[in-house]
Amino acid sequence: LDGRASHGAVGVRPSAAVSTERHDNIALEGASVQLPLRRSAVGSNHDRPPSVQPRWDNLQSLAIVLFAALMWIIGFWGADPRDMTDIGLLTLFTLPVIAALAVLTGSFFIALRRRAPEWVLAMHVVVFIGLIHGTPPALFHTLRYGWAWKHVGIVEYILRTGMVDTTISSRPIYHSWPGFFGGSALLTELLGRSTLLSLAVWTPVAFNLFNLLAARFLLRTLTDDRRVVWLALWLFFVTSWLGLDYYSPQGLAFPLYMVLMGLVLRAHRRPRDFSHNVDRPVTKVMSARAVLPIMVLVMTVIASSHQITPLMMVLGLTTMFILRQARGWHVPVLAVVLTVGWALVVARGYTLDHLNGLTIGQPVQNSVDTFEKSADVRGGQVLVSFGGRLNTAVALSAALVGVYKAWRRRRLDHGALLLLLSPMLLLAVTEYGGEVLFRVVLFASPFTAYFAALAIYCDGAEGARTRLAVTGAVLTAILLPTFLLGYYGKDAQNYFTPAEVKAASWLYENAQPNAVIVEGSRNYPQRFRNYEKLNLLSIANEPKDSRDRVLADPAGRLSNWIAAGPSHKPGYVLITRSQKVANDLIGPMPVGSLERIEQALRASPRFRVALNTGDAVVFTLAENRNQA
Amino acid sequence: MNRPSPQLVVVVATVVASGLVLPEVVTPARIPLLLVFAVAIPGLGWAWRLRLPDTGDALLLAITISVCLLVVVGEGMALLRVWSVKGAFLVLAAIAVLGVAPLHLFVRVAEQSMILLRVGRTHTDGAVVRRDPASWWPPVLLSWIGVLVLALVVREAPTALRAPLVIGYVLMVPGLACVRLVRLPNRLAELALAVGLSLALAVVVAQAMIYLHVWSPVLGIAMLVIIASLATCAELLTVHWPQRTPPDGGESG
Repeated sequence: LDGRASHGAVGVRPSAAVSTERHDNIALEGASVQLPLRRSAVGSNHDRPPSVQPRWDNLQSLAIVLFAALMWIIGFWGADPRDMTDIGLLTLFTLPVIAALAVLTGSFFIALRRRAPEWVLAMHVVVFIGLIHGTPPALFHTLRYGWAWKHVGIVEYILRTGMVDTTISSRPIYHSWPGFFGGSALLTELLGRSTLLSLAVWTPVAFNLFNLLAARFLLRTLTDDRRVVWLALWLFFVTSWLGLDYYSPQGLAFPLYMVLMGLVLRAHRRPRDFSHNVDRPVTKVMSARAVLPIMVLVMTVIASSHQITPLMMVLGLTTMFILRQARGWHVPVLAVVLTVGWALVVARGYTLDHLNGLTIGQPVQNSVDTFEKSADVRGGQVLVSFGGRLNTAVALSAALVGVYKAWRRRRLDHGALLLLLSPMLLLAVTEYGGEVLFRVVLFASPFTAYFAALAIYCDGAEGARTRLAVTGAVLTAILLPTFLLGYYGKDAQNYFTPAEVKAASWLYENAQPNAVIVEGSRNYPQRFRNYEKLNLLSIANEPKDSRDRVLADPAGRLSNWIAAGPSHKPGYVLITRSQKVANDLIGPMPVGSLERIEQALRASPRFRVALNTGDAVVFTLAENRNQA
Repeated sequence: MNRPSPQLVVVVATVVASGLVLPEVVTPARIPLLLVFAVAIPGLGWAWRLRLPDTGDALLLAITISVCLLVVVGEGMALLRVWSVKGAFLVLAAIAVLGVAPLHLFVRVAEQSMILLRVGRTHTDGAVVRRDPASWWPPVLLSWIGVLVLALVVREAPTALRAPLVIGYVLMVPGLACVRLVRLPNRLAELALAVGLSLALAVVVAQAMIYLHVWSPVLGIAMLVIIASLATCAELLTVHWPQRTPPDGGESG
């Protein structure tokens, strides 16, 4: 059936194509509907079906992609992540690495230009994902990003106790929405408990491959043209700089959101949409009845795994159905019932305690909160912050051009436009810990990529296809460096050495329950074991007055903090390499503060070193305070 | 080139995975084999039933369904505090096999069986219509299953045994016991409604326990068993109760 796919693009009227119309029967919600299909029927050589392309071209593409991968590996051979500076992994980029990206990009657009079969285009994107997202785990050998370690801690809790506790005082939010953690714990136990960290390390690769399948599924509901789909997919991955693909509930909920929207668009679009959009891929229409159980399952997992994705699910679906882009009132109702039901039944305690955290009706302030989060960055991090924003600005500009072009040609898909815009409603509801703008960009990203692809899409003669390839390559040349800045730029602080992991592991094993543990900042492998038993105090997260007092007299203040804990349980101070790097790059204390604190504790007779792994030092009081 | 049949893939994968999980075999092959099983096999048959023409879409839905099932079973066990990897595996394996099983045959057999069990043969005793003893079995069976599940929970039976039974019971029986009172003509609709009502009852019971600050998984199961037992008692009473035939002499049931 796919072989019948139209070569005309959704959103773009084929310029040189002679169109023929035919009728096909499609099953729409059980009813047989006759809809017109338009096929471009250009008899020239370039419109040959992909399957009859010379095999040699495809083998050439395969060889080029393998060559690019080889260059990438050679470029990173022997690289030491300790050498990263304030622009993260980009510091380790070498000429072969840059050349590999250039070759891969060039090869992709050449393949797109010559209408290569889908597997050739897919191969480029899969290799791109493998190289970009597989490099940090291959190079670091440890889990990247501090929050991922905290999530490991929740899974470790479930594996240790066999349950979640919605009334727990330490991080109750994860116990109230435990879907991702319950699933991860079950998968870990099926594979063997020792696999938890190695599973978590490779999660970005797995989530991005899942994203690839889900985004393809979604985009194929919007257009029948494989080149638009793969161009959009390429743009999707070179604009996904947010790094929300780490071991987290968001990482799982996002592809599920795309699958859900794809199912809704396939099973619940109104017939008039099909007749308006003559290029709609009728072969992909699915029966609403068959799809309903899958939608309920996906909605349940989204509603029980995350906090903001269910909100986005409700907003997106409600907007689609209220504005009559889809039919079947039960779909948004199901989404609301599952989301609100979970929040008020299983997560009732957390929800009621944090209702005042919703900042309804303050979209500007909520956006500003996101920008303020990166207001204190220093050195190369300013460039990193700028790179991410520029990437999004360029992608959105291209998408707006795409919307305009589609509108001019009377091929604008209102459903896709609505799903592009609906994430902005999040701004009116919550600031989400100062991260809501990132989530808006995330949920809009597949549709941004789709419209951006339409902006540069040309169909027809060879010259037009060459223009498409050149424009796409130029756009990638602008987007890729900013993507790399945004995605790799924070790796200096996101990288934790095995010595740091060893120190944190020792501390979490040896500290008695509720003993005070003072940490320089929260940027280290934190809370991944026995997390609920730890009483952690972060110097960097103290109010400024308190931080200043610590900096003025580190040994005195910190010994007081520890002494305030349980008398029979020795307290500890942990200073690690990554804490120092993070503080020096993104604050909040002056550069070198944690190094000065460490030196002061080393010199103080009140403290002794309990463990020194080279990259991390654990201090404890020289004597028990009772004995003193 | 012919694609391998999904039935074969699912059955082979399930058998291999069972051979690794149930006897707790530790081997380097366990990780890739069980990883593939967990993220693709339980949903493979169900995705295949949609008959999607595109392999990528079918693979995506197989992965989506499998991952979602993994999440639902994992979080369900954690919330119900019945953690058991073997129990979870049995649930996933059952769902995987059901995905490729000839369900239409099962439905037909189940329909016939339920008609026999539920309606039974009726005979007229004067103006009174009585049922044969066969119609006693379903409610009695449902009651005894409830007692069995409650006993397993209270006696803290091995979780590998407890988890699938408790999850299955919570998902199906309380709702089925209630829905049977309505005597829907469509058996498939009856089953679907039973699952929905069971989930709703579980939510209501959980919410009641939270509001009353008496959260206890054992109490929750006990409440559901009581609800199901009340419904089955009601069915037994109505079935056994002599019913007058309508004036036109038609049969009830």
